[in-house]
Amino acid sequence: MIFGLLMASQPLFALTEAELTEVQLAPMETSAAYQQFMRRPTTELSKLIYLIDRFRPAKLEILYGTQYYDTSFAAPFVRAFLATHYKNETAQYWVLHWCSTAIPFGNTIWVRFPNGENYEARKILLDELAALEESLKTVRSKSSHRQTIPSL
Amino acid sequence: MSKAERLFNFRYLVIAAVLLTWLPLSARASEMQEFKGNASGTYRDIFDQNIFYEGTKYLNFDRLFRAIRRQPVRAKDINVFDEVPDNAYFTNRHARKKLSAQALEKGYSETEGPDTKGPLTVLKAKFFDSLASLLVRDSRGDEYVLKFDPYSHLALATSSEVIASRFYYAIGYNVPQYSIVKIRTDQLVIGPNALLFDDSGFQKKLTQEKLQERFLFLPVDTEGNFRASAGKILPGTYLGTFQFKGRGKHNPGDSLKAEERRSIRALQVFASWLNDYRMSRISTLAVAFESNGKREMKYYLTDFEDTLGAVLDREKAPMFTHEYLFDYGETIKSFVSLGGYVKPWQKRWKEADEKSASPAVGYFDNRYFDPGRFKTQLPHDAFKDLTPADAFWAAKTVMSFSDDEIAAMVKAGRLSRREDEDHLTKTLAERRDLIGRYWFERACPLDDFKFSGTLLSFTNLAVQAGFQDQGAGYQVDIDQMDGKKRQPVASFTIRENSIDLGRWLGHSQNLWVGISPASDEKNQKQPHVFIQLGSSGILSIEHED
Repeated sequence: MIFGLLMASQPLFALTEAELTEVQLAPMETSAAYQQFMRRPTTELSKLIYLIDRFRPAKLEILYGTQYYDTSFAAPFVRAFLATHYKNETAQYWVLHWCSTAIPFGNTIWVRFPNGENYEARKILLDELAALEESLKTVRSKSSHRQTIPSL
Repeated sequence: MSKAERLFNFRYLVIAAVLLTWLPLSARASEMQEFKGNASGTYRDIFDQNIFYEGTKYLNFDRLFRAIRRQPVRAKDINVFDEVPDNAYFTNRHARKKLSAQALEKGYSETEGPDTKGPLTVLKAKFFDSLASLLVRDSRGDEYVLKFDPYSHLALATSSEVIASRFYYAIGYNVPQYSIVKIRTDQLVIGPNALLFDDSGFQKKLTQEKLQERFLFLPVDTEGNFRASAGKILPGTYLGTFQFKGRGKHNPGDSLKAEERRSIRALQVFASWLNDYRMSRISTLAVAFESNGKREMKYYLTDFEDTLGAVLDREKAPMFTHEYLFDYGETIKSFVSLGGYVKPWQKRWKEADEKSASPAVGYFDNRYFDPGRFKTQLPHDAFKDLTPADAFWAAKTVMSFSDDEIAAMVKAGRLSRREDEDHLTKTLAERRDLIGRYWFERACPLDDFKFSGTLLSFTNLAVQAGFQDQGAGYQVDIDQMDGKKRQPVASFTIRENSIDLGRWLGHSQNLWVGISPASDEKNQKQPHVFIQLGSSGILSIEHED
């Protein structure tokens, strides 16, 4: 319910091509994180692992508590945290639960872009997750369409 | 019976009693050779080596006086020809008899690796941080430890482990069998009592679901396989690790201290070649086994995932191999200079544009590489006791590998990109030359002595490798036995690599020939090599420490 309201109240944040260049990220389909994701069994956990791997090489900083961390620095810690704190939740629930506020400070986790603008971390992650789901749907529809074509 | 007679009889009684109790015990001790276990752990090792021994080293007066007087201690596990004979720690291999490129690539091998055609039964699983390892049994009943690559560096840790194992084996150390293996999760079957060890700190029962979940964190190759290094479990009884300091506690018959062994001291040189940061007791293994009805010990080097450009689950950090874990000297330098002192590793990192060659190779180059200043994670007395003679022996062994032979061992890492293999081969070949040049300058680089008729000939390894030209030739000092004393009889300079000793051989049974590269500068002391000659030929060779 809360998640639904949150999603409805805020516009979908999608990284434009210019922004991708700015944060030095490859488009989703050609990224190493996506390639790895497609080789793994698709589960809610694998989607979360994708999110970590996707933003690891980005030129972004995360404000966690009172300190800014590079995404490349934070990624191994987030992976270890995910390994011990994942309890079969959906990826969306996990992002909302753990990526909204910093522990134990309680303040919002922010992402700082190279131009100095700050965005909520959970919003960026949820939008990327939505983009991933969209891409998965396309891949699935393509593969099911391929199956319907009779072999010659 | 007089008092003197009573005392005499009592003395014999005591001797008889001692003999009666001691002889059966000593005979039993030599029969049994009872070996003891010696447990160790990372934190204990760090405390011992980096805090306790470093803190108390100034109370070790023997070592302190030797350091002040610059008096080195000669290695005691060497033979009369200044070589390390085969023993429980070391077996002469490539440097004595060249191994073929095929044998170098294969390394120590008992099997072809785990049988991946059948299922692999998981007996234990360990997932800690981004490290993942499994203890598996294959369909043939052999057990292996599979260690997987970290997520962002496919092939980094696995190739480093396999390549370094090939080098250490060819050099002469005992290593377990390591091979690269590619598996899929559907090949893994959970054993009935399989346990999972993870970051939670609790042992859990391993389930197929849990295993699948944990494998999501590992990198997958283009064919959908997980890449691992497979270390075969050695036959015999595991008795923990072996020490780099003091007498081994495993074997009561081992009378030498670790720091008196050239094979242990020289690990400093070999570790510098292979960029082995964690060369420490936690990467060793003592194994007792039966051989011809006798129980014997063998000491192994294991766990090479911290070599070359890797360190456990990531690339080597820039300061690794330049500083100890707690480096008091470097800390003081930075503190006193208020951070103004730019360290060599900082310059190196900056020159490398703060990135490594490739994710599969990690951070491994020869910028600012100084063979004399290479540091492992923890300081070891054995490495500090390395003398020029020990280092010469080690450098000679390193120099025995050609570029092609290095390439053959690098090939064992099964790296997918040719550029990565070439980078490793080039860096290792360059580093070999840097090590050879450095240590040949600090010891007398003469070797391969032959005595035929009255002619003593030798090879200058530094000239042979192209590090030096023939220069001013060699200074020769000859001593003869005069009664019980050594008496100098001749001192001259030669330009060739041979000396005719006919003039002096007839007068004495034994001759001592001291040779050193002649120096252009007067009063400059050059390191010597001493050769003792007798009627039967060369009796001993000794490089000056």
